[in-house]
Amino acid sequence: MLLPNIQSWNQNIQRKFSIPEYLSHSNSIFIELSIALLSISFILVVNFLLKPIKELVLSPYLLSILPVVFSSWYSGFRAGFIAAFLSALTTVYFFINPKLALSNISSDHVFVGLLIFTEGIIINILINLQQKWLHAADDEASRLSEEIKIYKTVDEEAEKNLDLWREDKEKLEALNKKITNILESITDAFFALDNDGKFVYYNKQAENLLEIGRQNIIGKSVWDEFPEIIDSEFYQKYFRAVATKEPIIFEKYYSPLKKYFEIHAYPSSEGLSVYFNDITRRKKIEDKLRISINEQKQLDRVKDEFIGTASHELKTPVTTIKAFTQLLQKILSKNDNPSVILYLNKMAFQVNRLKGLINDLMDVSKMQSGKIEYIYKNFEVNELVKETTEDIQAATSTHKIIIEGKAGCMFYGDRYRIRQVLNNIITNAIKYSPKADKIIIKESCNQDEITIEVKDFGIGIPAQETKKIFGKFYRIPNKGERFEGMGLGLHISSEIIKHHKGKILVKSKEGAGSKFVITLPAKSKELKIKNPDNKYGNEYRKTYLNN
Amino acid sequence: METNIGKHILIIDDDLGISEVIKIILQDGGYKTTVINNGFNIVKIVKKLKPDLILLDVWMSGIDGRDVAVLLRSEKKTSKIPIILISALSNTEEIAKEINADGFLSKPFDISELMAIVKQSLLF
Repeated sequence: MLLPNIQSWNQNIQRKFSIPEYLSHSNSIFIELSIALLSISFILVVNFLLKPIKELVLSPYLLSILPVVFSSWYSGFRAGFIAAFLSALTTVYFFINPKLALSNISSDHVFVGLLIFTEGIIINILINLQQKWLHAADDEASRLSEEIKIYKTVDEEAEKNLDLWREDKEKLEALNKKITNILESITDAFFALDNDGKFVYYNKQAENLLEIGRQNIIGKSVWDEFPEIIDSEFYQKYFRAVATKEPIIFEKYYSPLKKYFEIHAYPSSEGLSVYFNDITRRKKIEDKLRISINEQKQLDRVKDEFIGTASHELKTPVTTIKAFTQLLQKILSKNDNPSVILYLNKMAFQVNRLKGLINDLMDVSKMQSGKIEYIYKNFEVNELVKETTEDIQAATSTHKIIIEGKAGCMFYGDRYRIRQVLNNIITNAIKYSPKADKIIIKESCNQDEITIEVKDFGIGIPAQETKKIFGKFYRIPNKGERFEGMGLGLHISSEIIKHHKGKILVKSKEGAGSKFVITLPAKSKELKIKNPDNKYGNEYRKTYLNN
Repeated sequence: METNIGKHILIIDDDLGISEVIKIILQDGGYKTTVINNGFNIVKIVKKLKPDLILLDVWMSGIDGRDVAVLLRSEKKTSKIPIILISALSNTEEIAKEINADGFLSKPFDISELMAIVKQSLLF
């Protein structure tokens, strides 16, 4: 290499010709003059010492040059100039005949003086030129040396960076491979678009779902490959996701493939990552379900309308029969024939039964449409149980209804509806225990809840049926005996208790009777009052249950 | 209660059986009654009859009792006459509130219920 050689050469020169610092390139005229004088003096001494032989080997002219060389080399041009002048002067004075005669200066003196001076000046110039050249070379060598240092540093840094880059590249490649493996193994289809909408990645699942190979799509614009989506919902969502930088999830039917897709689009500074999967099967099932639900709703609506209309049409003649029966009872109350009163009472009883059935149908209809209205007020539970039991007992000769305990607390709810529940449960207990002779009612109350239990000793309920008995139109499977009713009473009761935030449970053993347990919240005053200011009140609403 | 005796009650119901039995019960109770089996020209008839109370059915053939009530309420001369809604519909109470009736009676009703609500309505 060239550059290091120049540098070493320069260093050698510097080592060989080094001069004391205080002398080199000094600007002091005093020092320069001193060097010139010293060198001249030294040469004069040498000249005188060598006088016996000098004419044989040396000329004073030659020796006179040495101070110039010395002064010029060590102290520069001015010192060389002074030395040349002094050298010429001393040579002429001491060595040119007539010697030591300033008063007799001849043309020889002048000629020799000028010659030596000129010679000194030329040498002086040459030495200075050489020195300048050496300095320039030295500067250039230093500069080159510095540059080499910089190049070396840069080279080392570059080497280091290259190593880091290689390391990073390896890591990136490993990461990229990992991500690619993940993207290829996921069940979702995936593609990535750059900011120009061009495909930069497209996984295997996407190939399967969109039925286009990746070699045909990478680097191409999504708008060119799928022109039909321009101005579609996807198009709008794409731009919205890119503009807002927020992920978007949506479902879309893609007609060319006749498929529904669920699409997740995640925008980034690089473009858009899109995950999607085929939800055609799910959509079809949902559609079927929706149709099925709509059909079911339609059926329910028709059924409700039918129940409503049928109830209305049945009630109209019942109203007339009931009213005329009551009129007859009133008119014939003093009739002597006891059969007349008996038959009229039986007629009135059956009319009331019919009325009860119709009311049950209407209650179910109202419950289904959520139109049943509850009138809340405080009432004493014990009194309600007693009153209901007495009314039922008055019409029952087969069973004795026994009340055990006393729920000495108030309940805030719809008294009419709770009585309806009690009536249903107690009359059911009688109905389903034709061979028994008693019903036991237990009531109790604590801080949290009011409990009313109705126990019978009748046919019981098969274990597998206990969960079904609160359903609509449920009847215990017929085993030879026929029990009247439509199977609505327990359903209505359950709905009423649920509305009061209570529970109704049954414990039963087939052939050994059943126990119905009603629990109501004791702090039911906190229940929301649906209709606190009903101006119609229930003063007009009299229970049909006691008729 | 004796003061109500002789008061004129208008029964508007398209069911001949019900309107007849109501008429008998009320007459038996000492009231004067008129029965109309449809709601046509009702305002004109009411203006002429000037009843003390109207018993109005909701679901009648050809006309809705709610429309009849609205018409009566909109006329100055008939707007003050109390109206008791009588219906076999499951939402009788709701309808009564909707048309601002003075009371309602769900079919089938007891004679005692009918008499109670009539007496109460005539008090005001």
